[in-house]
Amino acid sequence: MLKKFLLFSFLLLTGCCRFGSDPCCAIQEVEEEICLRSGNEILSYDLNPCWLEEKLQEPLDLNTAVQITLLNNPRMQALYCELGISQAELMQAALFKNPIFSFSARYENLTNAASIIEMGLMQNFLDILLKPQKIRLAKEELNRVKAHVEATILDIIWETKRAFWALDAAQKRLLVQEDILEASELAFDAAKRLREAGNITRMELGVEEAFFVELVTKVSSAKNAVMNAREDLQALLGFCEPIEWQIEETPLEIDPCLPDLDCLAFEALSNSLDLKMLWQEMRITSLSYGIQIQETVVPEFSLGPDSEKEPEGTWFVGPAFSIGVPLFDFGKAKSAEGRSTLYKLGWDYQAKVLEIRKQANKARFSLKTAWENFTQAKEAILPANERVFHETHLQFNAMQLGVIELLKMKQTELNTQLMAIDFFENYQNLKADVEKLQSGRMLTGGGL
Amino acid sequence: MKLFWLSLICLSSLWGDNSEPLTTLSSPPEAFPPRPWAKALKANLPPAEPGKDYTPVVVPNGSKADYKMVDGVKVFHLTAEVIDWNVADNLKIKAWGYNGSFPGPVIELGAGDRVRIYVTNRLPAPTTTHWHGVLLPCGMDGVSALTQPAIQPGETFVYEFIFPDSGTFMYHSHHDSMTQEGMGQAGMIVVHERQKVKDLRPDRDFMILLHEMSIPVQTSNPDASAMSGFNILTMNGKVFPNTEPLVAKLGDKVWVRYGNLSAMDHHPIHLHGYNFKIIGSDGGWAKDKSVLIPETTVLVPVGAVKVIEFLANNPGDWIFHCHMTHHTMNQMGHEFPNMVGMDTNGFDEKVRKLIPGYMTMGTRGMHDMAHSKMPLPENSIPMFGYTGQFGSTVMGGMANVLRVREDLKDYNDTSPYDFPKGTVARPATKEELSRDGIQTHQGKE
Repeated sequence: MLKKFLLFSFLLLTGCCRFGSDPCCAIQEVEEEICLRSGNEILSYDLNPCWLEEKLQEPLDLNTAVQITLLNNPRMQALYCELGISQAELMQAALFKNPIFSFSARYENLTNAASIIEMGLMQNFLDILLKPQKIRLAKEELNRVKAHVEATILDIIWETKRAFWALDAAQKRLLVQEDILEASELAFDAAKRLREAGNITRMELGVEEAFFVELVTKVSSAKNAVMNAREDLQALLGFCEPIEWQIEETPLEIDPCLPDLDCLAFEALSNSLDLKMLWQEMRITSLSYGIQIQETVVPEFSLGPDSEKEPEGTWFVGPAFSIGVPLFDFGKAKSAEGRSTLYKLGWDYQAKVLEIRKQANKARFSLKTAWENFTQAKEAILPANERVFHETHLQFNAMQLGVIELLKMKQTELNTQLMAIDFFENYQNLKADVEKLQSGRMLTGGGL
Repeated sequence: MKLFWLSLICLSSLWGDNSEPLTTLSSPPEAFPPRPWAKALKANLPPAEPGKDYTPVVVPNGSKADYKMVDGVKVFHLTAEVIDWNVADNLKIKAWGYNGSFPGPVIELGAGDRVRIYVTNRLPAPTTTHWHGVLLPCGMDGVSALTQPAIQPGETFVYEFIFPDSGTFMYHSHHDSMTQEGMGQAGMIVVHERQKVKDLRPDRDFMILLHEMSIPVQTSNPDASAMSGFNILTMNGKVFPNTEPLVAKLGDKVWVRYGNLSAMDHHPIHLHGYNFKIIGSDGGWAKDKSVLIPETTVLVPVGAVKVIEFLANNPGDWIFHCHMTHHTMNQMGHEFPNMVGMDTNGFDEKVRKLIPGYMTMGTRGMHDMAHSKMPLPENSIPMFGYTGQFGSTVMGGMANVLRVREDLKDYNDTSPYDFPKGTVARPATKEELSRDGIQTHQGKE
């Protein structure tokens, strides 16, 4: 009987250790989910050792920059470690607690041979009984961590996109600012030459000089903006050491047609990881409080063999158990706490639904406006200003106005290019926001 | 029958016009002092005939008004209308002209001619026509509201009077004159002395109306409210080099009659190669030419006429032009800065990196404009020069050429002058410089 009991216990203990500590399955599931939601594949160094080196030979486009970030950014590794931690916790949850072996020996009048020896082996059977629930709880925790990791990866992708467009726009702006500065420098040069010839006053010369020296600061600010944007993107790409890299020069073009976003709110809600995480939180809370209430009502239940050797040398063996008695605390308080927590999470869920819908609608309208603004700039404002400059040049050729007016008009034309770049960057950023919402992640501080 | 005609007259008085019949051509009652035209009316001369009574005037770039004879009265019809007018080959403007032209056609008559002039108004505004300098009854003077009601758009008025004396006169709108004269409502009138002896007439008699407009480059509507900055200065509605040259034979007695209906500027017209005498104005003629002071420049004030006379005794191509230097530039840019003397070394190349095709102009004056091949705004003629046989004169605007030829086949010959050998200024040779002890900046020659 005893032998059967001991064998059964051994099999039970060893059979329960069925979850490994390697989070590779969880990682794979996360990567598949990310690919499904965002369209971005997460590569690995093991499978693609030379990929990064090859990509850095050419200017990076947006998709390549995102892929490098997903491959190389240390935050990704930190996130995968979170999966490892949660996986280990699942493994831990599946393991039974070790039994407690007790032993005592008592010596009569402190003589050599022990007169009484007591031995016992107690196993926490409450833990065994609650094991399935605990495993379920740990699995939900793992799922929540997976959702959190997915959400953070989507955040990283979004940050990378915005950083890419910020650098792209900053580089475009710098080129235009340099042209504006050049135009102003030429106007100043012309004014100096006219002053030398005795044709204009010092005041007129001073006006051109003042314009020029002020514009020098704008160019230096534009250079600074490029450097800052570059650092932001470099950090996301995960490059610690100085590495030569460039992003490709993108044309000042956007999507020819406005994407159909009528169902954006529905998509954002359906795909929402934030709601999924909140839902999982509610499940975890429910499971957790279920276990806690049971542990409150019956705080302990242990069972195991116990033996005693009498002074005469006779061994007495038999079962022993201890069990908590629900006399004062029936778990009401815990139950109430659990209920309130669940209600709170329920309201949080509703609030989040509203927030997601709000963000989706704002993103939809803002993207439409951004598309219209850029299209207006590209199709109407820029061409109109080009025509004005062309006509100004003709008037100059007809000696109706001077070279300084001509250069000022060139600066005006260039300034409209700056406006178009602002519209371009705004559109690309809002498009990244929309893609983030579509992939199931709410916008954080940098978005709407 | 009598009842029928009586009824007709009564009915017509109800809806027909009630204009009083004009009486200016009928014999006037004796008045003291006699009216300026009284003698002419009494003389009742037959209508003057070109060729027989006078040598017709030549109107470069212009035309003469047609007329028909009705009971011994020359009947003219002027239509005041909005027209498209080519001031030059590449400059078309919207002018308010007469009979399709700006200025209007020259009305040519002999002294004592009786005229009836119908004026139809096809302008968008009311108008009148004033006969500038003509001594006539007040009611025919053409001043709106003062001497007549304005001619409304679509209406036709009739003017009837006699031209008592020979002379050079003008006609122009006298209703909102600033706008209408500024837009081109102007023309000239020549009344010839009836002179049967051809030798006593001028051999060549030219008529030129001076005018000015403000037409910004690339526009086509004159700015009649401009008080300064006029940039299109015309002779008979054209700018140099589109003005038709005056051609005379060596030995011709030449008259040039200038009228000035510019808005604001008098024009001192200078003739090269000649001095002349100012023999007449819109007020009359000099009685004794021998006491007149010879001039080379005649100041033609706004609203005045001057007639000059000279003998074409100096062959060649002689430019004559307004001596206000801005008036010999077409569409001069008054906002253009002073570029003279600016050092452009290396400047144009730098600008071309930002503005392809750029070229600095004006550092040597307006000369660059005459040679520039730069694209220009459409409908503009900025300061184009007249290209003579030695290059560009860098002149435009109020200028023209008098061609005097010894062997002239006909007066339509406008070929350039064939300079006799050795009579053209040329670069000095070293020998000449040395002979005359001339030192240039490069050192003693």
